[in-house]
Amino acid sequence: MINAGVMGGGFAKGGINIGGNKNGFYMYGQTVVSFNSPDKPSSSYTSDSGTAISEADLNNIGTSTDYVVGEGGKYLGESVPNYGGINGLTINTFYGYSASGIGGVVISLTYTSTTEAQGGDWVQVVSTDFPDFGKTSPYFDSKDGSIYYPYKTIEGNSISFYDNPKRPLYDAFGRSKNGDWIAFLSLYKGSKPIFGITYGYNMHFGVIMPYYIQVIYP
Amino acid sequence: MNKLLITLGLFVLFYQCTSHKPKETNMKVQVKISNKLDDEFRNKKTTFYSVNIDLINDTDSTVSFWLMSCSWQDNWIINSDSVRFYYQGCDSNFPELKQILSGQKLTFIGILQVLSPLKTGIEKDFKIGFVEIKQHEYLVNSDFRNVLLAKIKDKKDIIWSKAFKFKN
Repeated sequence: MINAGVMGGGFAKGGINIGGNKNGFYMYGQTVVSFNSPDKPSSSYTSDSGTAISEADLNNIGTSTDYVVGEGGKYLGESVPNYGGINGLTINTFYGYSASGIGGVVISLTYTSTTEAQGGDWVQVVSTDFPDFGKTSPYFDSKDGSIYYPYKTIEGNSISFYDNPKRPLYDAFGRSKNGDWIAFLSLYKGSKPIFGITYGYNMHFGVIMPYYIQVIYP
Repeated sequence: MNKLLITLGLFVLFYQCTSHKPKETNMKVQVKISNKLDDEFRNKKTTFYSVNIDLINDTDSTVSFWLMSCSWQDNWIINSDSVRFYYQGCDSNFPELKQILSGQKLTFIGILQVLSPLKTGIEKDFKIGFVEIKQHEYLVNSDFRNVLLAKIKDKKDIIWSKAFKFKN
């Protein structure tokens, strides 16, 4: 399995389904706008640059941790300073928040390298068993073991990454929901992982605690 | 002569006043509460309604703005703490530049959660506002959420719907 520091837990299944586009967008008078059409489960994907990366390749990411940015919960409500210089990786922002019954984290990073990044692919895998409806990529479904691979091929020598994953803090009956959400972000050159990053959060009784960001080298 | 000068002066003053009026936005928001969804999720604390929100571009040019790729609800605010959008979360959620052509509209289909409906009452008027983040107002690598929150705090570029009610 992917070593992403996944803790136990998960998200309760439930909620409300409505008809139409799962993300609720329609453009009238012209094309229907479709955001984030769900990726189909697959055990491999082919990147823009034609590279095939299999699940086995993903699992080959190493387990040695060369650099730990911070401890769990430390970044709640505050921005992480610039950690540039780690193989060209700059973490611009990482914090957790909750508002209007929804909680999540915001992460943004920039990767710049004239030698390593060019032509490489970022692959993101998210480990969670929720949501069942509204599957936006990326997604790892622990119920059936399917993994969804979104990716972005680096153009030039720099790539920016922004993610704001979130979940409701309460179910439809107003009961607080608990669980863990972990993403594993990895930079590939060819089919070889160069290094990876984990980030995520723990949701417990309406409080969001961001996990540390961990940079993992193969 | 003096009368003529005074008249001309007043005319110029009037013209300047009227020509410097702030330009009104021509984006419109229309809200339609479709139906109550509490048959399946009945409980005393909250009630759910499906809602269609039209963002209409009544200008004569294309409008470009930033929306989150999944949580489009982030760009919408409600004039009451008793009502909020309900959704099941997002992964891979990032800002995307969207456009609405002149004369077109973008319809958002979502769920509104009314907290403590008995306390809120059915007579109260509600409004939903769209927080417009213009193309030049968000830069890649900056924190979109902070940009959005700053606009909400400053009450800037918010396009409000007309008042509406929830029906029992």
